[in-house]
Amino acid sequence: MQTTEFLRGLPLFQGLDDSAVEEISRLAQRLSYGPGQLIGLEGEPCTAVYFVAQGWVKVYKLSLEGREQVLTRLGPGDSLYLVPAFDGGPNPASAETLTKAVLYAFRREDFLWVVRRHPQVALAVLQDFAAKLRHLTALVEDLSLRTVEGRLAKLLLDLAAEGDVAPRRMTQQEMAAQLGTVREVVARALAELEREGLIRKERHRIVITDRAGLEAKAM
Amino acid sequence: MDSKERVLPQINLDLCDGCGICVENCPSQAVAMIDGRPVIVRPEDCAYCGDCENLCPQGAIGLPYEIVFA
Repeated sequence: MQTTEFLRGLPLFQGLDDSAVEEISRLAQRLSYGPGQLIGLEGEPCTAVYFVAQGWVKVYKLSLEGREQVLTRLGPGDSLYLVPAFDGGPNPASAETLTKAVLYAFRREDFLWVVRRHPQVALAVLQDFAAKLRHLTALVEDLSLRTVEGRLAKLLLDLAAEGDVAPRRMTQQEMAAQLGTVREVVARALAELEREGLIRKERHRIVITDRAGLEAKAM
Repeated sequence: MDSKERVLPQINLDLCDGCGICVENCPSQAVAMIDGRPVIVRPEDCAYCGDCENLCPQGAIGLPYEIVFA
């Protein structure tokens, strides 16, 4: 896919005329990554804003003991490091590819120039920020108010609903990183959900056998 | 995803310290030590039981799951 064509499809640049998108596309750099490659580190200065064109990226924080908390998974069309680009602070989290991925990067100063030149982009950035704020609010609710079983039930339902657009299969360790717990707790919670007849393990598949029951657990 | 694909445990060799616990405890002897590193040598025998994942002290083994509705 051409850079211009990709950028035109982003909500941020919709509403701009072709010549503006053409001009912006000249500032973008196309980057290809293999799975498991680091894009940015928490605490480092923000030098660029990224947009995912292909593949999946996890955004995460690490505790001093090395425990990982996944904040979000980014897929095609999602942005990375917009917040530090605007507040001038360091990257708030690390980002690593989950799969092979293609991203478009703008140098921070170039992206800020685009926003100053095209105020409608600023409005779209605010919408992006609002969505991120809602996501983080929901994450705080999940981590503080739901049990691990409830959070796991919600994650399983989300992953099943993503279907073919899902980034990949998930290990118990990856589920733990997303749920803010450790693998052993996920293993116990999966066993409990299976005992209750809500899911069934079939080799490398977790089959949701009682969707309504699992949804009740996720409430 | 291809339903006929044989999915196997993933071994992260960056984390693996070659202790061999997975090899000693695999109930189907699907994994063997080669040059000090575990390798799934008989993938057709792997029962995906998760013992290797549970026992690995380094957390180097993961069993990926696909989540689907019945």
